[in-house]
Amino acid sequence: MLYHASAEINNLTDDCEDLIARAQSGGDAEAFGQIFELHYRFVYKFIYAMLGEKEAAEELTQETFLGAFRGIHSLRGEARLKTWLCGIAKNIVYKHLRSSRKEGTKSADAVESLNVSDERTVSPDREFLSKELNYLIGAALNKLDADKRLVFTLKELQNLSYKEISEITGSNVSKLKVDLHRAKIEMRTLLRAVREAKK
Amino acid sequence: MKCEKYLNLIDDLVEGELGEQLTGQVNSHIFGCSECASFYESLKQEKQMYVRYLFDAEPSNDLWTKFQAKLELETGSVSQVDPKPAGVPFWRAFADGFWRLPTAFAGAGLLVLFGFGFAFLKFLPGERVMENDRASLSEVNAVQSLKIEPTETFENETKNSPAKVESAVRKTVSSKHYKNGHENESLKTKSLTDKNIQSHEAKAVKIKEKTISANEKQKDLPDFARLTKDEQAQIRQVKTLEKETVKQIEKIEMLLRSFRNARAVEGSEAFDVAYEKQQARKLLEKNAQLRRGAEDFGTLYTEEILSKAEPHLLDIANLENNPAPEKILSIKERVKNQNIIASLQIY
Repeated sequence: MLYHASAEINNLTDDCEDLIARAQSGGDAEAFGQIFELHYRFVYKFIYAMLGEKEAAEELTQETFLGAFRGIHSLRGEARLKTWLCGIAKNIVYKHLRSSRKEGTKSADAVESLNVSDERTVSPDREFLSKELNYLIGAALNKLDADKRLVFTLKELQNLSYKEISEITGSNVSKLKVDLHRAKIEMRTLLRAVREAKK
Repeated sequence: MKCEKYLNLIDDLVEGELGEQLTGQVNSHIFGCSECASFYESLKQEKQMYVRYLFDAEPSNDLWTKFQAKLELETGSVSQVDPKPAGVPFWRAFADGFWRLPTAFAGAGLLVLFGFGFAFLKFLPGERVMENDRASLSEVNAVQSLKIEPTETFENETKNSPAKVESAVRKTVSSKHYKNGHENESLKTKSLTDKNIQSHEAKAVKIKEKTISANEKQKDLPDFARLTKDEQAQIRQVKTLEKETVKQIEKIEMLLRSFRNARAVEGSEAFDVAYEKQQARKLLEKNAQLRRGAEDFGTLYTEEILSKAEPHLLDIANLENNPAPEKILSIKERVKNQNIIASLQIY
């Protein structure tokens, strides 16, 4: 039986609109806590994909929600909470990237070392392979410029629709499609070595 | 040439961005074209590989605790920036502020106060009657328990005249007694002492007020009542559909959550999902019914959300009774990655 697992999160089935209204009306910390509970994993994963660093992702997730807490009054009814949060997270990540100027430094080493480590990646241990693959995807992601990485993360890794991504980035769907197409081509080039190694 | 036309569409198909009609077209092309089929498969594999990237990326368990501490600091700092005046009563603060106003504003304020005072004194008698009326709610209830029903003559007689009110009350009360078979002259006069007349006056005003408000209510009937019977029936159907959809979505959400939270138990080789399968099948039937209803009424968002949930229900309904953990975990992965639960919650 799997059904028992749902009992523990019955309290999360509250309507988001109700939560937003409560959080907006009197700065209801409990309501905001529930908003956090519903969305923190999504926000964390987005930031993690953009930065590739666990600690920074956790730090910026907290910053995102603090920003959301401060600005929850500005949330319009038609704006979806998830895209709104993601928009805040995007701005924070861009600010972080500008200030740290770390873009591409870690990834370059990792991807360049692919050819050298081909022998090591072929391992019978599936978990190890998966970790290795994840590391390489992360490294390749960091090679992309921030705009392409953003579209790639939201579409390929987080499965948002173009409409939602458009709400977050402010770009039109045609531009998003072009950016995603280019990002995919770059990612393929960067990861070709991994595929060959796997074969 | 024909395949070129489908290349972008295949990409959109993998991204889940194609409508139902185009999906059908592209699928039928893929079915008949081995080249496009292998292209489609490679794109699908690529996407799955990327989707797995974030599968294990989980924040640490104490993230909420850390955030809570920051939030407390934040709310603390807000109150420091904008402290509320502690221990100063509202009237005191108001009075202090008032005397600090420039003289001209204070004068204007006094004039306004005089104006209000004058208006208050002018309308005091009428107001008093109303106040007495509200205060003696229990008495009014007692009158209501006599079931004095305001008749047309009663209403006409009570217009703007206390004397008429009195006679109307006499008439109404006596007629009530007459109806109840208590036709007793002494009882009629005894029950209408001066004090009673006053209270009955108030009650009569109250009754009149109620009658007028009821008439006003009838005049201001909601738009719903002005609609034709067919339109009313349609609105009712849409409301019922909405209610049922909400229930359905709650059930789907619960079911999907149970998969999202599924954990592989050490030593067990299979999950028992007979109950979930049964649930998924029931939900699928209902889903199809609700989706058709949503289509008929043109409630696009409802239709969209129900369609979005359907593939997940199909996955669960098509499981064996004791599937391998990999199958459960693949459903779990899809539920997680497609954010279906969040979409359902937003609905």
